[in-house]
Amino acid sequence: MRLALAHARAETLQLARYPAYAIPTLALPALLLLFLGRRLQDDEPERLLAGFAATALLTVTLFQFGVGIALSRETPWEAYLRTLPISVGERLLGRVFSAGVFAAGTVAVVTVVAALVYDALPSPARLVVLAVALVVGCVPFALLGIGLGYWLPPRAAVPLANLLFVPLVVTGAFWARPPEEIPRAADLGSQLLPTRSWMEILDAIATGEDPLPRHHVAALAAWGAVFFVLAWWGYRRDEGERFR
Amino acid sequence: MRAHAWGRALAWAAVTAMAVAASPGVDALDPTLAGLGDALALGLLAGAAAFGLVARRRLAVSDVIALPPRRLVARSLVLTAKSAQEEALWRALLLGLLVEPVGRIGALLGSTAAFAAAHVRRQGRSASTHLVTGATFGAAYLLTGRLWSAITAHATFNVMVGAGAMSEEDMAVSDNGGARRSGIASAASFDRRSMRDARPQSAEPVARLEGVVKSFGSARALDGVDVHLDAAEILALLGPNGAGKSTAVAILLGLRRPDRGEATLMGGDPREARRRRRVGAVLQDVSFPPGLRVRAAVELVLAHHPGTCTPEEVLASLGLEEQIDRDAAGLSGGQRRRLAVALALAGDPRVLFLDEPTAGMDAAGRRDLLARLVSFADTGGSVLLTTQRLDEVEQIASRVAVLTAGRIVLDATVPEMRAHGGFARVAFRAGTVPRLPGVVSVETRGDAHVVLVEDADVFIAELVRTGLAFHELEVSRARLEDAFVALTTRPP
Repeated sequence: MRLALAHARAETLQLARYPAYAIPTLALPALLLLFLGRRLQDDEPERLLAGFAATALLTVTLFQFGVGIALSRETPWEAYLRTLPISVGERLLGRVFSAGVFAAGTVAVVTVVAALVYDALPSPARLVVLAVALVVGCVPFALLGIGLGYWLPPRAAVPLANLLFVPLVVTGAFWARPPEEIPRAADLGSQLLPTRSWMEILDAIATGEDPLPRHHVAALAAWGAVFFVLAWWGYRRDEGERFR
Repeated sequence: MRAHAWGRALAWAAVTAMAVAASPGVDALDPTLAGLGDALALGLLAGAAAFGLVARRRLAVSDVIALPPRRLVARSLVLTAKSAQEEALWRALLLGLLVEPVGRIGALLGSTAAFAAAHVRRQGRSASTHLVTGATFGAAYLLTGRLWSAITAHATFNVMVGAGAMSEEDMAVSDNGGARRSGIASAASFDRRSMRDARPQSAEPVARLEGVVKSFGSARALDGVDVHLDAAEILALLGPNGAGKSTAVAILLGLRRPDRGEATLMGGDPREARRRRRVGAVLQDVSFPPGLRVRAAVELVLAHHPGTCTPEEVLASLGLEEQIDRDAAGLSGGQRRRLAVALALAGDPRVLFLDEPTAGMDAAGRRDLLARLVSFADTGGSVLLTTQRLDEVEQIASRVAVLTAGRIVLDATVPEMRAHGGFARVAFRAGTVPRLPGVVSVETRGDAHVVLVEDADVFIAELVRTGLAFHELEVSRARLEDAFVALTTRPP
């Protein structure tokens, strides 16, 4: 744990001193909320907060994990760090802690914007439950990010992460509930996405209107298992093949 | 037993009590075994059987008797407490809860799979070991309906493995992990190497590759490499570009797995983090990520070696103290290489793997580093060095291994390598060099030729016989470089 924290500290300081990463990560979801929120205000404001907080977390998991791991995989520094007496698990935990710092930062910015601009602030109790659902719910996406990090070639990581990010967010209904009149097939397609499952859970918690959709909890857990396999397999494959 | 071991045992006891309290319990599959005595006896048998199944060897009773009895008893108690905690979680709680919804067989399979998955994740062993042990302990529980049976089986297994491994860490904390170094699932003989700490003994190599094969796609980087690094020696691993030197270093450092063969570092698998505790490394490519300050890089490395020295001391030793607050990526090439060496030396290592450490360094820096390496080896340290600079090798190496096309073609001392094949250098001036037998290589610059030959007398006699006009004939002993070129350009 001590070593994981040391690695998290080093990575966080390093990323914080790298404005090209830190500023977009912290600002992008809040900017999206500012630009898109007005149009979506018909939606319940709590749902707005949940959707854009989830967007913020997805940014961190896909980009800090996915792109971050893909880019660092081939770097000499990463290879050197692996010669230190630290286990893979602790290294990964260090990455998780560091991502946690940025995730907390970007969600905090989104929450402030949601509260000030859109008056979207649930009760403190609901906020705590929402925070837990955000943290637990983003685990499958962290695994997806790690898997992408090990599977994607470094040069393709950024465009492919973007290519995944947009449909996951839009079709996953992070920004707006699908209108009633869309075809049933399209809605079903959306329901099958992990982001939609996460959003349905967050929606139920943030607005407090519906009971927790159990089938979406199960679906998200199943996606988590799939992404875990993807991440583990990718890690093993990378370990065997790369580096000469 | 140390205080933290007691604390851990207490925590295990608490977890055990809670898990047992929450568990539903199972009915004995075979009521004739449900008595406590029968259940314990079955547990003993099951544990020993699991050991026999996965260890593939017998535990020498004489080895166990030779151990200090107090230590053996204390650690056996700790292992039993740990086993009880594991059984309470995996068998009483998980298996017990699964019996009702999925039946006994399903519960046994499910709990065994979860048990194996958790252990593979924690200990990095092959799943088969944990599947066998988990299924055995679970079967003992289901047969007797008594958790004591499973606990006895698990404890018996752990104590047998632990008695074999008997290194402090194994016995105190690692549960089945003790099986790792005692050679479970490997055919190696039961030796006492694992009974020592990770520190090497002078009699055995600190690092070794045995029959290592490694391919990248269709390219075979290493093709059955045997090489070892002893304590207090500087081994130069030489070879032309692409010979596989960096791959060999990567495997010794645990960065890569061999396809076949075995890599050992400090008496164990280099992929275990603790084997690398007293190891420093400079890899071939050195660069630092943007945003990483020199101080932060050193602090990060020192975090792995608490209490050894300060960042300032580490940097001062390589003349980098002025750069402490700079961005590491902004250093010059030579400074970056120095920083890499400083990081390798931080934390008081006993083994250094240096992949071309002097590349790009200025003359003074190179001289300092070589002197340091010599004094490092004089105090018992071991260095594996790859370099293209044979003058450095002649200065400091105690032994040379030459790697060509993935194979070791020579493993010898520097004088032995120089004398390899009995080559001699013949230099002369002439219009041309005739084709003569016994010539290993020819270097020509204008009318000046340097010929590496197997026998100087035979060559000169043949040269005279051709009637060629030559002058300034000079015969000398072959240099290390000559031997290297000859070794790496001719088939062995």
